[in-house]
Amino acid sequence: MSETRAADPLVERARRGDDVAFGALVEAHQARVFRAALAVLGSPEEAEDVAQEAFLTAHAKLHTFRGDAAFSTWVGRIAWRAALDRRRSLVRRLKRFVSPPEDEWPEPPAGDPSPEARLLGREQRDRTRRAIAALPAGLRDALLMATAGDQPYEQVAAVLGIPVGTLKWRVSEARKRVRASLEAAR
Amino acid sequence: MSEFRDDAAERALDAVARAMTAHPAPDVASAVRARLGARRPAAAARPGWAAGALAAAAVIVIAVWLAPEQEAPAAPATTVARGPRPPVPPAASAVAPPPVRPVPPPPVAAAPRTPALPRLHAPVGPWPGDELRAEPLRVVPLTEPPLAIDEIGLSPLAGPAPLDFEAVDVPGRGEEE
Repeated sequence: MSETRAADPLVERARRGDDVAFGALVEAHQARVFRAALAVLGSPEEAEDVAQEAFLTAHAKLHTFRGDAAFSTWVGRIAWRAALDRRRSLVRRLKRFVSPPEDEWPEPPAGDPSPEARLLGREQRDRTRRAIAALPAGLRDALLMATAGDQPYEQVAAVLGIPVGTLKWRVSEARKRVRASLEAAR
Repeated sequence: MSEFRDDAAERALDAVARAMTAHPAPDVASAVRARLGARRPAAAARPGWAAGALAAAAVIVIAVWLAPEQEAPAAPATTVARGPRPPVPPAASAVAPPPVRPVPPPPVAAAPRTPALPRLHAPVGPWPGDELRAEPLRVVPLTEPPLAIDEIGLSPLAGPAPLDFEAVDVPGRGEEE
């Protein structure tokens, strides 16, 4: 997908109040924004809420978008911050304390694993998923965002607000810890 | 062989991580359109002039509310003499303030009545000491003139009389000796 800059006619039209153009922008970027929120929250329902809020915030603040970064990076960053706020919110913590979720980052409904994942087998996949879920939030966020595969490292780093080098280190460290955890479980 | 195994494990790990965020994205666009559409009509239903009229009416109402407070005692006069204030031109806005209707107080639900406490009766009959209170004070006239100070033996110039310790009767003194 091509980068949507401020010069993008859709962005320009949306800035002038064209809601049809803004709807087209949402359609173009909703998958990325949803995945970013899901990487933070682990719950598809909460991620959908955050994605909606992020696009509504973007609509309200479109006049502040200067076009220094791609529109997808800008709205991705809004979603990322909103998701972090929700993850840190006291209400969410209390809810999860009272009724802990059974399974975070559940398998996609159309659970047809990739050939690489299929090699692992069901049990090993679940163990790997649990090991990733148990990582510190900073490492897990970086790993999930980087492996989502729809954004280059530069863009992921811009969304997370960290240098590219830091992002690479975090991804590498996350992989190392997951491997160590799986080795220890054997 | 080991590198190959590591590589495969790495790719499998990445595949699992990718699957964790590989949920099909929901139709966020429709929800956002609906929410934006819900906001629009509310704003579109109020044309600009109506919003302006509302704002003017609000300003007038606030001014009416604040008017009594402006009549508070003025600050002490400064040394600069001021001339009379020019008459304030009538408000440019033709919008009259909405008539203020007296709002009747909300009906207050009758509170449940508490049972009356038993009344305490005052005791019947006179209180002790009432007969003394009823008797008027009597003034008893003196039959003889008061004694002079010298007759008593106490002169203000004589000073206090020396104490006669022998005359003081101390109980048990004689018994010790």
